[in-house]
Amino acid sequence: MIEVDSEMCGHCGACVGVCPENALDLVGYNIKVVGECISCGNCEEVCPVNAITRD
Amino acid sequence: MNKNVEYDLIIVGGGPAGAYTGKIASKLGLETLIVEKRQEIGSPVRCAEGVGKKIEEYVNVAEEALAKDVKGARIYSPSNNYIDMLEEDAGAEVGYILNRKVFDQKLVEEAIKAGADVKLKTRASEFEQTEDGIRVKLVNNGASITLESKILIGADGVESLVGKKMDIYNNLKLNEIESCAQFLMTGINGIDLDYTHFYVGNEVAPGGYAWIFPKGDKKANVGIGILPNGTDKSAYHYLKKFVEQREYLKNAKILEEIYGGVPVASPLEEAVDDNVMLVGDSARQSDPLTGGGILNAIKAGKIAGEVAKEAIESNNCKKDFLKRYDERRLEEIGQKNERNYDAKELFQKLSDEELNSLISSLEEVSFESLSVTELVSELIKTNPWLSDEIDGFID
Repeated sequence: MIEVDSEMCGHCGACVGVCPENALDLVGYNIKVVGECISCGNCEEVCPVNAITRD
Repeated sequence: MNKNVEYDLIIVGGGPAGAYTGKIASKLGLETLIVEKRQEIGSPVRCAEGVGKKIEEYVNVAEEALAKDVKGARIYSPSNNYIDMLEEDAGAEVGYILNRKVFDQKLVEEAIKAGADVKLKTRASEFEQTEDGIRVKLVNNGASITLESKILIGADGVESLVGKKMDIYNNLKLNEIESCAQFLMTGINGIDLDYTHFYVGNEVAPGGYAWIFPKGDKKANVGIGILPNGTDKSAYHYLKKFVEQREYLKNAKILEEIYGGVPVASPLEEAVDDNVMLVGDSARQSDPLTGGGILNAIKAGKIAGEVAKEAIESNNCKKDFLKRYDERRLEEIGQKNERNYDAKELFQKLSDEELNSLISSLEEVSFESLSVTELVSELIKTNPWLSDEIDGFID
């Protein structure tokens, strides 16, 4: 599972583009976890501001 | 027409790709709806705002939408030597720095004038193929509505759901996306702001480059793009370091922080399915070498709008017909993107020493145009070993 720090997030959607499971969505200005996360780490790596962490 | 089908075209996304597709389609008489999930068009900006002057073959760039007309590009090696490329022809690849918010709003205004409907704060959440087209579930201000359209256009950016949900492609891999951070800064002193500035090198920006794109009045977009699989540090980290190390940014202040992911992938073989076409970043049409996406999005939008009209007239919106879009966009955008993808793959492997020697090899060259194509062609002419790696730059 991942956690998105909404205070750090730059609302860019790069994480959504690299998610293989459609588990993320940029809803308005917020990144939401909307599906099953497989902990691949792609979103964590692509995030320009390190706003995403894996448990 | 089946009475349940409300639109010829529903376009998801109100950026340049969606707006221009909508304008062309509406002009050709199609009933068109553009939906944008944000509450305003053009904001937040996720872009360095540079575009080549060729854009004017398609769009009239209004005075308010133009921040700066630059006269050249300065490219710095890791050891901080530089070469200048001066703009001497109208085919410049980076000649204008835009005010994207104004630019985007003007494009949507043009689509509206041509007859398109626009809904803001509207998210397209589900898509279902039907006999006559596609049923699209829209969430507008929290309330769901379902509309049916003959064709769905995914112009929904790097975070495209249309492409993934319609199984046209999978996610972007970590070597197919640049992770970007940018500050709009004011009070810049001691650098020529009639030029754009590009910095390459594995210390500065692993797998990418840093840029200064002037916006007039001592302001500029100062940004950086890195390949996420080449480093543990974030784009923001590299940008902060870049800013701290530049004397001319010492007293500059940040007016805006901008983040983004830019596809730098090779062209999709297929960007269509039954009743669906993808345009712009959602179709990974940004230039893999420069990251520039606006001009390609506009070009693709024109083709998509025209093919939509032809398909609806022929009463066939299935994949076999929409393939026309793939054929035309591959010819107009894809070939160059394929070549630039190969160049990107090569440049990413070069060490700082190799980059230093390549850039110094160009010190005596005078460029005839401000284009990346010419830059790479000159590099290959001067350094023939490169030609084994990348084809197609020299005719």
